[in-house]
Amino acid sequence: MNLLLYLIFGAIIIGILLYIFPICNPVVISISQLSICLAAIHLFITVRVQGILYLSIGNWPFGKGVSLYVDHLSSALILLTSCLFILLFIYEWEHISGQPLFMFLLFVLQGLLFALFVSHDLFNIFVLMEVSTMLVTILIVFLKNPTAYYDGLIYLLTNILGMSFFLLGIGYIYKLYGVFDLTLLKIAVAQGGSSPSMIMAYALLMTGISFKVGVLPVFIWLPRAHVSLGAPSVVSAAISGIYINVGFLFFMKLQDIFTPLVPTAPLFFYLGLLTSVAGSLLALAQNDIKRLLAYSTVSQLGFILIGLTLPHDAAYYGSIYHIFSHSVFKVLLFLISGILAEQYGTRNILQIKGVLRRMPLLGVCTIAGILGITGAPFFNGSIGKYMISKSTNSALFEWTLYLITFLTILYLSKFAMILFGNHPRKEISRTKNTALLILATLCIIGGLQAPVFMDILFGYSVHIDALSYSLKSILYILSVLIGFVLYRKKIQHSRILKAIREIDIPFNLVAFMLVFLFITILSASWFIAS
Amino acid sequence: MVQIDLINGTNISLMLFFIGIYGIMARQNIVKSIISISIMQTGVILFFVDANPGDPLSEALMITAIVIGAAVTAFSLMLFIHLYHTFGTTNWFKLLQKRKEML
Repeated sequence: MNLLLYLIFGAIIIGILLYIFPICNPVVISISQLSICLAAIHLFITVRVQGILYLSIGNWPFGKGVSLYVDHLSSALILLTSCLFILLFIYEWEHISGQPLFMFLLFVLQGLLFALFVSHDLFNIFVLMEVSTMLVTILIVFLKNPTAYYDGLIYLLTNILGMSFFLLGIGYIYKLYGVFDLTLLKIAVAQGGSSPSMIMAYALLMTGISFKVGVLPVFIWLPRAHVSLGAPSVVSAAISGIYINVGFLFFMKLQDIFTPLVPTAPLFFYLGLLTSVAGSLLALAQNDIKRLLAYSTVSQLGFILIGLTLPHDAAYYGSIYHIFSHSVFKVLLFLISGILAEQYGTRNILQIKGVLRRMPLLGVCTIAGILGITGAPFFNGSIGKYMISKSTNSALFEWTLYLITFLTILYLSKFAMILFGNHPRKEISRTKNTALLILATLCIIGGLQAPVFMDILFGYSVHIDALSYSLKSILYILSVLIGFVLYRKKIQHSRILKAIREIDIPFNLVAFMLVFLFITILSASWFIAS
Repeated sequence: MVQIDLINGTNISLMLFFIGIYGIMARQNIVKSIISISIMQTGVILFFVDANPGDPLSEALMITAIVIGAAVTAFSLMLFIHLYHTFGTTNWFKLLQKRKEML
């Protein structure tokens, strides 16, 4: 059990030591990261063998103190986070020595993520979310670019606003049931039955969590945070690939508690669908390489939300698997975009050309990432998509999912244009290549060995039907061809996309949309519960 | 005698919360937005304190929330000062325009 505390506080204390003493060098960092990763593996195995772990810090009675709770999913998320952080540090290898402050912030972010994954009472979740919001804001403005302060302020204020809704929801819960702990809350909600106050509490909590997830009207903060000019690409990768998982974890936990009384799955299904389509269209419109990737995150998380709301085990686990795949390929693509922006001196996707010729290895990794995210056969993205689409028999639903995949292919055709063209050869550092190669390999292994990973990570045995999987593969190849041609012929110079690109939403409108989302959730759950 | 039950902690706190939201939606001044968020947080804190009067747990938690609120306000004002030095405006819309020109 002390291992869990080591994971959380160890990371933070090592970060502080790195900042205070002049020991910030690659060897120290890699040793400490390896120890954290070993602890994560040990915790993962312990949870597999012994089942769910529960720890109350300070020996308070159950439900009073800070309680930590580790189940299969959170231990798997901790393992993923620690592995990805090692890769991020390998990527940063050459720049480690000079930046103790940056290393300190990354270590603290890692510790906070671990703490968020295992915390199991509402107030603790609120505090950790607020602290991580502040930390991420500091990371967004880290390079002190004047325009980045705007992104930082928008990110900070919108997230504080969302979390205020969450805190008021906690107040309602405490007034109604007198508990903070999620285990006790589940029992209390089941006993208490449905009441207007309970629906109000649910709507307030879900507004905060939906905001963190980034559903349709309120996702504007997300690309701002991910592509800020003031954030190093490691930060973009960490926020877009790893930090986003927190929202999903709490979304699942809260839905698990309230679904028996307020089954709002259809509402979030449609929100996820709209988010996914809107995210793809916005991604297609962008010319900035990081902005394109950030909107693709929006589209992918909409897709994950769709899977989480379907009443089927395969869809649920497919969705969780897609969370893991998404972390891997999004970290990969963001790291690549960082190198590209550095090498070409621009983030405009139309000016970056000939990546395959210039940096062959990086080009191959880019292809692996693109195939992963579009769900190509034998790549990790395809497994989640396959499992979600096979969970229902409705033809309409299948075609909707296919539309999302097709839009994904369209905007990644735009991304893939950077690969082609002529350019003199240039080498990039070996450590960066290593990190990218490992991530690209993970994309392929995650697809080829999906049943093994599924079994290890979630204890769920999946059967992939060869016939329907290969049918999907043929459909995929066809749609890649169509998408590529369609993009070259029609979309590339579209005026509508230019108009979409120019849209910039002021802060007041974000607040208005948040209230709109709150009213939507409140009225929908009222309607469903009565 | 008629007791006026409407004026209690819960109602006042909800009013404060929604006044804060109104401020955020309607005001274009950045400082006023930050102040509105503080007002919202005050509302939430009053809600908690009034939830179970005399309960040490909720009071202890609200001290944490007050500390976080102070830190957040200070931090957002710091970011605002940086923005003001760069763009010379306190208005969200003008800020957006000037930023677009700069990019």
